[in-house]
Amino acid sequence: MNNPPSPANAEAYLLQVRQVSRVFSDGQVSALVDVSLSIRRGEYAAIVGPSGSGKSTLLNLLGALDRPTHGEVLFGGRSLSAIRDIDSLRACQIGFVFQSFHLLPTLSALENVQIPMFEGPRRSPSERIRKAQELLTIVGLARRMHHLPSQMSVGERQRTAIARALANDPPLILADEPTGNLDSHSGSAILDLFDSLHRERHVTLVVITHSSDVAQRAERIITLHDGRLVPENESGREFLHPQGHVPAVSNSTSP
Amino acid sequence: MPFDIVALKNVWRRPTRSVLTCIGIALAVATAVALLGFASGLERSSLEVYGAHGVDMVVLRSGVSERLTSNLDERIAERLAALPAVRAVNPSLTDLISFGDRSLIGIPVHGWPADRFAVATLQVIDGRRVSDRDRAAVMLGQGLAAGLNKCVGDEVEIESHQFSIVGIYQGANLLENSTAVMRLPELQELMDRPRQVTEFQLQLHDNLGDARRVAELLRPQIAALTNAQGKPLGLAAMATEEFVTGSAEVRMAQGMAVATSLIALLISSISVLNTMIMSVFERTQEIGALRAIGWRRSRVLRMVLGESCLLSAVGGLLGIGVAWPCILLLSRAPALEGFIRPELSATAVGEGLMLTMLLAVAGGFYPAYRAMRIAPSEALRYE
Repeated sequence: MNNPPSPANAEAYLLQVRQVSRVFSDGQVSALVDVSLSIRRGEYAAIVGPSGSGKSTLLNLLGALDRPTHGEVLFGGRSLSAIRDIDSLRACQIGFVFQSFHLLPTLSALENVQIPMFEGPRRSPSERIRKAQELLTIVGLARRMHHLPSQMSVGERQRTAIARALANDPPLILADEPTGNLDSHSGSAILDLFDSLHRERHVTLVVITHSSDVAQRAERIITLHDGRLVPENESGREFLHPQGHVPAVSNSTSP
Repeated sequence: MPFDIVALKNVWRRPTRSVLTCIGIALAVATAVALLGFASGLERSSLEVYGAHGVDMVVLRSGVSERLTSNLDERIAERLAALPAVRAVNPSLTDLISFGDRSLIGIPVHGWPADRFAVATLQVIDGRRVSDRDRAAVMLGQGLAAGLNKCVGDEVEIESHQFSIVGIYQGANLLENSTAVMRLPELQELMDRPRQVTEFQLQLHDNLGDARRVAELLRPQIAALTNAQGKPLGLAAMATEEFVTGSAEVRMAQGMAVATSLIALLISSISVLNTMIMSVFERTQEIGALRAIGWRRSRVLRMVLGESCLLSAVGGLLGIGVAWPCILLLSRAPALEGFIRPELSATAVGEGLMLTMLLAVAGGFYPAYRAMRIAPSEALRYE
């Protein structure tokens, strides 16, 4: 079930989305319509749905990259619209993992992981290096720290991006199609890494995906269709294509 | 990893483009430094020449913008000499001559009375000074004599007249070394300017204190001098430094240097702008991702401005390095030989560095502003 947001459970929920709609500037496209949901601290959720269903728009709103046209998004009980230093929130509280990694091609893995630390808690250069080394070891890249992205496999690049997302120890990781550019073996390794981060570091994970393999690793599946939430009892795991991808037009129903 | 490393490595991402931009900046800065250095060198050299002869003040016809067009009666010298603060007066007629067969054009020749301080203070290294007994005699500066390949006793043709070289002098600097001196009446006759001079050079009494203050006091007295009919003589008196700084030659050289430098720097800043804006456009998604992971707008601004500063700094330092051979080449150009002292002053280097920073800001600010305004959700939408 999508948990109804209320002040009483604000502590339990890291993210609360309250009747959010997002209409794009030309006023013609409603990417999200009256969406409400909550995500518990430490929860591992997958957002699924066909292309154009509003997944990325929802992720942008959860990650404070965009503002809703109507409604509000609460992070740790605070409305994002009331937070003045939204950059600081993104730097310290949210880690992003992108489908295309977005690593700086001229920097080594060790240097890429330090990129978010320029905005995080104050650290000396040596502390930044130590932290980056620790994170790269966690993601299994202890021997590849000084390699450029072009010298690494796509799986290693995504591992580096995950280490970068953890740089400031955020409580929330938002991943947009994290295995979308990976082969099945590398994708599986990344999902194992997410599992261990979730289990051992109690990180809240929200993953957008087309892939059933990815969604089935999550504790909860949130389904979007035409910008609306599909009730969880109607979407379920059977919504996903067993061989890999969510069908373009699923058998789900709009509420 | 220090933050600056990010900018450094970004610049090196497209080495060919960055190197070409640096070369463009280097050429602009080298041009600016060389031309500004040339202009300030001309001013300094002129001051040295007057200083070497102990000239404290220069009197010209008021209102003239070009020293060579000043036209004064030589008899005014007696009126000036009568002023209590004035120790000595040298009436001077200056004109430009050419030695066509040697491609030497625009050589300054001074007509000075043989018995005044200007001739007396010439440092003769061969032969002797001109005297009142001489006819068709000339003294040459060391550089000019070398350029003409002449020595004492040789003849030289000036304005279709033959002159005998009686002495060679070492001037205060290259500028004076490229001049000639003859008796005032002979130059007046040669140029068909009887009893005329272009300026009066004054030496003031040493015991009156600060020469600049005395010159200030003397200036209105000289301006107030009148002829027998009570009409003003129309004189303008200036301290030597003021005269040199305001002289048409120096101002023209400075104006040309500034104008040419500005054009070169404008073109160069457009080159920086083009490079940086291309770089920002290419990295729209990347910058969007940096904003998404928490980089503030100010940090993105710092990164792009840092890249622009780095390009400009490397180009600027290269340009300052290239400026020295440029000045050497300029100083050896046939038309300028002897007029320019080949030196790279600290002022010119400072001006070059300042121009470099101007270039960095002028060329980098707009791309940095564009980068700063990239909305992460928009940039990442095109993933």
